[in-house]
Amino acid sequence: MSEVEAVGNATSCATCGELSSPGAQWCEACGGSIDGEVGALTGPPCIDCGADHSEIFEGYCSVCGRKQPGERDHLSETLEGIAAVTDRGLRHSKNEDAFAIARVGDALVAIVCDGVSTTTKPEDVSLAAAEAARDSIVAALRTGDTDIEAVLVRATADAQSAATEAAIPGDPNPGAATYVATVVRPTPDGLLRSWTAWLGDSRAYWLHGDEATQLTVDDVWWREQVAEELLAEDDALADPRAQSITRWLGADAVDATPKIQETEHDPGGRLLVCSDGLWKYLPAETDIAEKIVELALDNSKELVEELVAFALERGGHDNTTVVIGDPGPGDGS
Amino acid sequence: MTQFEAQVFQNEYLPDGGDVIDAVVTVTAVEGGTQAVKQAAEVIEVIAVDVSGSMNEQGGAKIDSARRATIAAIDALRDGVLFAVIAGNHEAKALYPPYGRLVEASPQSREEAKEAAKRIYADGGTAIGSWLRGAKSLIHGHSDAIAHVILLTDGRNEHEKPWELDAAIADSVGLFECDCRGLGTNWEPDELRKISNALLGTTDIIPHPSEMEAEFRKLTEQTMAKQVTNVALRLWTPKGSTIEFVKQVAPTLEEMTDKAEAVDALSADYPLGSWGDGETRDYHVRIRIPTGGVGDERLAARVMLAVNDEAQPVALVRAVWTNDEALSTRINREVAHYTGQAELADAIATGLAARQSGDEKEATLKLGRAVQIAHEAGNEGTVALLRKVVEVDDPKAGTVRLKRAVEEADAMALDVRSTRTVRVERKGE
Repeated sequence: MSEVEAVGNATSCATCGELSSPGAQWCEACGGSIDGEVGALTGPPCIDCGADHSEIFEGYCSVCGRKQPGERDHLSETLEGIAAVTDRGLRHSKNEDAFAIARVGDALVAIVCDGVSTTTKPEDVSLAAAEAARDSIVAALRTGDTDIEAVLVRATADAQSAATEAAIPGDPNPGAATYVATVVRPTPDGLLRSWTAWLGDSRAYWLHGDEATQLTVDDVWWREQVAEELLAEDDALADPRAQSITRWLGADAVDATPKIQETEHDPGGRLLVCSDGLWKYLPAETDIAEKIVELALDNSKELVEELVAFALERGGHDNTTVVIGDPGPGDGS
Repeated sequence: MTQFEAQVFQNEYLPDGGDVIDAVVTVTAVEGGTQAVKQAAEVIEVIAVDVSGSMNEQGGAKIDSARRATIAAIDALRDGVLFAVIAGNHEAKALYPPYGRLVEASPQSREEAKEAAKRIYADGGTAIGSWLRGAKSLIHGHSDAIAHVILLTDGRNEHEKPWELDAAIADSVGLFECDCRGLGTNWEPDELRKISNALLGTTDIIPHPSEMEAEFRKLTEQTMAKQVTNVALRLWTPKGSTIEFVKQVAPTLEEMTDKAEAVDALSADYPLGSWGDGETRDYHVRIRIPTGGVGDERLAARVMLAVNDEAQPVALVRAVWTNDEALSTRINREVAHYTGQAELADAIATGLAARQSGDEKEATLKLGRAVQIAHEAGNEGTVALLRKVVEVDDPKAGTVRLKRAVEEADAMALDVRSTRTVRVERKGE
């Protein structure tokens, strides 16, 4: 393990204990400052009319009625070699996507979960699952575990436990979320190796030069029908259930065993992990590749923000989450 | 114990620049609950029965029915309820107890009151405002009580000036609720509606004296079922907004916009009177709010239920701006339904007025439209009332012909009952 080690830790509010996003100054739950040094009733004024923070009640301004931004409306995090952003989009009232990233030595860890909107409080499930998976992977990498496939299997099981715990007991429609987790690290012979575990239709791609290669295969109904030779591709795609996800995390998950893809890459490439809020606008590998070439951004933080901005420009129909992992030139040293 | 629950039905999506939000708020008083409100300690029933000279008509059938109806109301009183009977003509006389105060219902007081009711006799004129003043002087000082007045008249308010009635109504607001009943067809619907709207009650026709007894019993039983009073719908709306209207839309249409009592700069109370467990009423509110940008969300109203000025939040009316036309052009089912029910009442009122003034073309058109809406909404009660005034050729198309011979009582019944609505059929109901 090297000396570079960072984990995007959520901070808990000194006043009420509620978890907030990294770097947050004000607690969404109680309105107090995260460090508790300022009185609990202080905080940012209304984003619309500028009314004092004391006028904000249950997320709405008591003067002009404006809904105040949720802490998860737009979140970003940058660590060395990896940057992530998630955005509510323009059509949804809340952001049910979540990401968790980490860097452990020369390994990059990226997790994206997309809460299923039709379930109960999917935003709780996506966040709990993403953070549980990250904590699990980080703990394993810190102990020097080299069987990354086994690490990902355990991390997925930990994410599934967290997703189940986040649900309301006995809920007939418990919260559910997709899941994709990727670990990238250099190999001793100067190459790069990635391991990706997933459930559902959030995706990981490997970007290299003017090419993009999808590392995941969506767990969606039409693909299963075709794979099991039950329907022809055209018929499967024409079915109303075509894009329904077949596997997910959550208390009612039928099968939370992830598919795992291990791939070796030439140095110089980058990892992209995203929710369908982005790839629905760039469905083919070539669409992704062209967009990356067009943006021509080496800086990962700028790239993730620009990709989200692109999704918003296209209508922001869904929550959008993008992670870019850049392991560097990979000189093999 | 009673608790209030509310449900909001609305399309929260507005197009870019849109600023009008419609919502139907369903309020239900449920038994029990953790947010229970204070129950009223006292219940008061005052029976104000018309004893003017015209009550002697129909060979004594009217005055005899008045006696029996009063007795039926007295029998329906629960022990401990405070009550009084007023005999009203050009003045208000205390029929029971014989001195101007309320008496507690007991086997003995009920017997005495019934004996007094048997001795009701009719003479003199009609001054309805004086009856209200009589009720007010009895109920005065019991502002926390569930206080209800049954007011029966068979004639117009001929023996006082209109302003005297108006003043009596204004003085009674908030002190008691009043259900008005007109016996026969020689009374003025607008006069009684003015009273019942201000005093949170209903107006209806009792076409025949024989129906009086059941009606008085029903009204008294309704009061006995009330548990909570001084209830208000409290609406907080954002700065810069206007409440275009607030109306009760079920079980009957009642305009409430002008009843707003300011609580603070952004909140107002709309009095809802007394409630019994299990009671459900629907309200339609339309609010004009400062517009927002696409993707923004603004609270258009915070709906609260205030009981004796203690407010509980029950629901939120939201506004979300979108550039998705599929969302912003949607009309909420409940809002559409009650907009239709309001149009129905309006078509009946306009149609009947046209019929009265001899404009047969307009009357046929409006009453035809009324049949069409009532039929479509499944408001069979109103369809049946309309059928007594028009021959219906095609209810779906609203094709009707005016009937030549119409009973006056049927036309009046259609008039006063046109505000009865049906609720939206919901899944599982």
